[in-house]
Amino acid sequence: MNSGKKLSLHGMLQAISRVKIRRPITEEEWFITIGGSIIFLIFMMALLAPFISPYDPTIKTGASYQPPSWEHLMGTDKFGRDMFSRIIWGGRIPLVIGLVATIFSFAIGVPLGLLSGYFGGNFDRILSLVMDSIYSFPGLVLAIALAALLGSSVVNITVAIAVIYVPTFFRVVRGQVLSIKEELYVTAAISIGAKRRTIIARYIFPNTIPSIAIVFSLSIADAILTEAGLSFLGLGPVVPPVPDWAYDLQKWYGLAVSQGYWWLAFWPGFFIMLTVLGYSLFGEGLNEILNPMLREV
Amino acid sequence: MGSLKKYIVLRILTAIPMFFILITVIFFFLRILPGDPISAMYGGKLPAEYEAYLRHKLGLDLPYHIQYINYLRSLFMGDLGTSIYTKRPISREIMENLPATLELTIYGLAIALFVGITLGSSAAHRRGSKIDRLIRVYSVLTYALFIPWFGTLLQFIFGVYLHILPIGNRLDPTVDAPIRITGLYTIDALLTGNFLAFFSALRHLILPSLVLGIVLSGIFVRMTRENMIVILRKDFISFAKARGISNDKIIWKHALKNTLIPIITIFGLQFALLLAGAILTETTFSWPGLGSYLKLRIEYRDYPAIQGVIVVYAILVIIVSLIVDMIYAMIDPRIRY
Repeated sequence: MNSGKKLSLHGMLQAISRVKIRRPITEEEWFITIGGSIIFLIFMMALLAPFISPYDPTIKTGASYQPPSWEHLMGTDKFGRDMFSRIIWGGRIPLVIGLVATIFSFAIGVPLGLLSGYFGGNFDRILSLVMDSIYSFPGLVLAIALAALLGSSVVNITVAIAVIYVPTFFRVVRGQVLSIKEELYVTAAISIGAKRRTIIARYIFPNTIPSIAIVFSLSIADAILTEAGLSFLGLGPVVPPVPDWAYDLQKWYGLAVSQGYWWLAFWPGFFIMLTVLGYSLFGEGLNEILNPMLREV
Repeated sequence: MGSLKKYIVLRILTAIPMFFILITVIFFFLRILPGDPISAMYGGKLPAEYEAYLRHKLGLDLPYHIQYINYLRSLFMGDLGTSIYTKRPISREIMENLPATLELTIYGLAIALFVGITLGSSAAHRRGSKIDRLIRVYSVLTYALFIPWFGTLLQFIFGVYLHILPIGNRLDPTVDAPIRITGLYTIDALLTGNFLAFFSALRHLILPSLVLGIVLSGIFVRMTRENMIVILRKDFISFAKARGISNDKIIWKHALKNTLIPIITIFGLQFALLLAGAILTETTFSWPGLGSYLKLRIEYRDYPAIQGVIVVYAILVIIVSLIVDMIYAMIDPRIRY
């Protein structure tokens, strides 16, 4: 257990780049390699959808409820649409919403966490209380509330999901700042008269990056599950003929069970799981490498 | 016990601002952000005058601070408003659906805890071994499961293919519900000696609570494993080993007891996940609880009902975090102030 155990971001990148030359050895390297490959493949599939999908996902291309065959790899639905093409196209919305929402949460949560942790005082107290309250609340319920009441466009769903993960970034960054603030090099920077902005931006922020990277990956995984949950509850951002994994799953899961059309429910859900698994494995691998708490002493 | 009492009183007092913040945050999100329920519901499909009338009826045309006061006042009186869809008091409808959700979450949680603690301890005990690796993959994998998909899969296997378990509802259609005492069918049936209803309710609980339990178990596996690894390095464990106490006894008695304390504290935060998971599980298994109620009311755009359910979730979250903190204070004397 002595290779690949690096603390810095630089070391982490080295660990990832080394994977290309030799086989991953430690578990963490396997996690990152497999997770990263899944994310890459799914993104390529969604990006290249116009070139690789065999049929138009929104029109009838065969008989209804065809089980998987060479012509329709994942069968067809009630309207004779090719499920394989719908799967290929159906990842676009969850992938984009997951990524964009998490970027928003990052952009709001990280600066607030930095300021709150650094300055402390009443500002910190109130902000922490609000963030903790949101954090303790079921994210899916909050997203449901926002989506149900604001209307469920792509933008609104993204905002709703972004709101949920702001406290996650905030809490992690704030916690890190509180301990980094006490480090000698920060005291040294203060004593030589560095500006606050410089201290936060150049001395504190870079040291929070490893934790942020972990939270980022895990939040995307969670955001995709939340988007899927919303779609499943009928609050999804897509308008019917447009393919979306969770929408297809909620549309057909009843029939899949009652009529035995398993392919209609299995494949959409499988790809949701695969995507979330990719991000979780990646985040998990990063966590093991970057989180010194868990390393063997 | 003096300090414990003081702590409990203090903790209850701090729960009050938390409740107000949560309620206010919900209010803020629902009212101040652009768009409102009427345009979300009808989005220009109705004449402008009628939309204005609906807004007026729901009090959405009043200034925000008045709306906020009205909202707090009715909440304080336990009034969650009247459903647009059924015209019945929402608080009563919620109370009818709450026991089903509680029953599901209690069984789900029991499964999650059992699987989580067993697997987590085994993994920590054999750290770095093949079993440890398998268990860690299990915990990541369960986290990635999308509940409706996993639920449908189990319904297909056990309900349709093997045909051994029911795939929805709380009871067989031929069995009458037990006399209502708590609303939890398994408990009511036992209390009234109605074994037919008890076994029917239990059979119906298996698949949904298994889905919820397995999906949540990954987190408990992780928490148990991480905490136990830390505990196993402590001096008192080495001392126990030196005294010749068997490995099993050290893991399951000495280490586990100390691992449970952090698990209980983290549980307060996991409760939110449990509730969110229950919504999806209920919908998948046509389980007549709060989640199914919420889904149905979303379909009808029954705005006061949706808001009522959310407030009830907030109250549940606060009550659970209160209870968790109290249990924590009782087990661990260091926490009282």
